[in-house]
Amino acid sequence: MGLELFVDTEIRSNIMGVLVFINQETIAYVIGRASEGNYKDGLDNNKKSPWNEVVNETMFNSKKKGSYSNLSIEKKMLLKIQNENLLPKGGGSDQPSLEHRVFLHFFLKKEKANVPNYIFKHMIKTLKEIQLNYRTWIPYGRLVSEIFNQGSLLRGLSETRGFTNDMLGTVTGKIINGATLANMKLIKVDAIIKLESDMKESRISSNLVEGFPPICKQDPLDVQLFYIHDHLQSTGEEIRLEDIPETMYGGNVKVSKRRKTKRKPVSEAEYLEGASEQPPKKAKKAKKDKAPEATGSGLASIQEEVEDLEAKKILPERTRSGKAATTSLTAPEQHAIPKKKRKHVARKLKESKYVEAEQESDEATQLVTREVKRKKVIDEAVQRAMELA
Amino acid sequence: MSLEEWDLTIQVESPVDFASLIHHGFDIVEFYEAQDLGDYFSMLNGPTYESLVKHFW
Repeated sequence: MGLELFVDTEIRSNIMGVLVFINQETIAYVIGRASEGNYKDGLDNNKKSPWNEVVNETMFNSKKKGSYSNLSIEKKMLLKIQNENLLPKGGGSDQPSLEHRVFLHFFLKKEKANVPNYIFKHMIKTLKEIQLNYRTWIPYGRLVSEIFNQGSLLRGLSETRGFTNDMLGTVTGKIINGATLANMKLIKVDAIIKLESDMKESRISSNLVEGFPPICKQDPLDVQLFYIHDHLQSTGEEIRLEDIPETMYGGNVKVSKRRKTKRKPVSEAEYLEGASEQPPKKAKKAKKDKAPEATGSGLASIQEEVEDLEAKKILPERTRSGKAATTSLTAPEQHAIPKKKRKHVARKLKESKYVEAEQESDEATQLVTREVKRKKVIDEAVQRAMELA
Repeated sequence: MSLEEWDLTIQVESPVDFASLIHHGFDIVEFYEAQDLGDYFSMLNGPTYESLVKHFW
C-alpha cells in the first residue's frame, strides 16, 4: 500500500514536504539521555493498584492519600516543574493522576525513570486526543522545535533564506524562578530577590539566521550598505538588498503565554494574515471579480454589499509584528509557510449556497417590482383612454 | 467537526532557573541531575517555532 515497513512506534508527519519522524530514540537523543530506567504503563488511576500506597508514602509520608495542600513546598515545586516540562498536563495541576504521581515518586526517590519513554508515550496520548476528541492543546512545543533544529529540517529551510521570527511564530517559554514561587504563594512577594545572574529568556532567534548581519529594512540605506560590504569582506558572501528582512531577526522573541491565560480565539483570516501571507486576500478579490460575470447584473447590489463587508476593511490590519499589513505587501519575495487548509471545500459550499439564496430572493423582488410597474402602466393607459373618451 | 491549524494552542515548556530557586531556598537541582536531565533543562531555554509545530501536528 506504499506504507513504510513497521519497525518501531513512531510519529510521522511532514512539514512543507519534508518528512519528520519522531520516536523514542529521537527524544532520547535530543534530551541527551539514554532511554533506560523504570517505566510503569497502564496505571489508569486504578484505586486498587499497589502503587497507590508506595506513592502516598513518598508524597505524604502516610499510607492515605493526602491533598495538594499536604505536600511540602519542595514537592509542590517538583510537581509544578513536572506538569510544565516533563509530563505536561492540561487543566488543574493540584490533582495529579496516578501516572503523574508514580513519575514524581521516581524523581523523589532518585530512582531512574525512563524519561524519553514517558515523554514519547505522552506525545502519542496527546496525538490520539487531538484526533479523537479534537483537543486543541499541544504540549512539548520546545522539544519538537529542538527536534526540527537538530534534524535537517531547519538546515533545509535555511537554504531559502527569508524567514522571520513572525513567520516561524518564534516564542520562548516563561522562566520558572523566584517570581514563580511568589505566584504559587510558596514565598511572600517581598521575599523575591532579583539577581544579576538570573536567567533571561533566550534571544537567539534561530540558526536560520546565523551569521546574518544585524540589519533590517528599518535601518538607513547607508547602514545597510555598510553591513553588506562588511559581510562580503569578512565572509565572501554577498547579500542582496532584497534579502534584508523587514524586521530585525534577532529582535525580542515573544514570551509564550501561560496556558491559564485566556486567549482570544484566532480567526482564519487573522491566522493567515499573521503569517504575513497575502494569497487569501487575492483569492477573495479574484472571486469577487468573477462573481458579477457569472451572476449577471441582478446581483450588482449584493456585490456592493459584499464589498462593504470585505474583511480587509473591517478587521484591523495587523501582522504579528504589529506593523501595518500594507508594508508587507511591498516586501520582496519572502517565502511564506504554506498552511494546511482542511475545511476549505465545506466553507466554499456554504458561501455559494448563501449567494444562491440571496440571488433567488433578489430575482423574486425584481419580478414583483416589474409586475407592479406593468400594472401601473396599464392602469395609466386605461385612465388616459377613459379621459379621451 | 474538524480542527483547523489555527485552533491549536502550543504549550511551550518553561525553562527553570535553578540558580534563582536555590537563592530562594529551593535546592531541587539534585533531583533532576539524578535523572541525567541537566541537558534537557538547559535546552528548554531556546526558541520554539509555533508555526512549524502546528504544521507538524
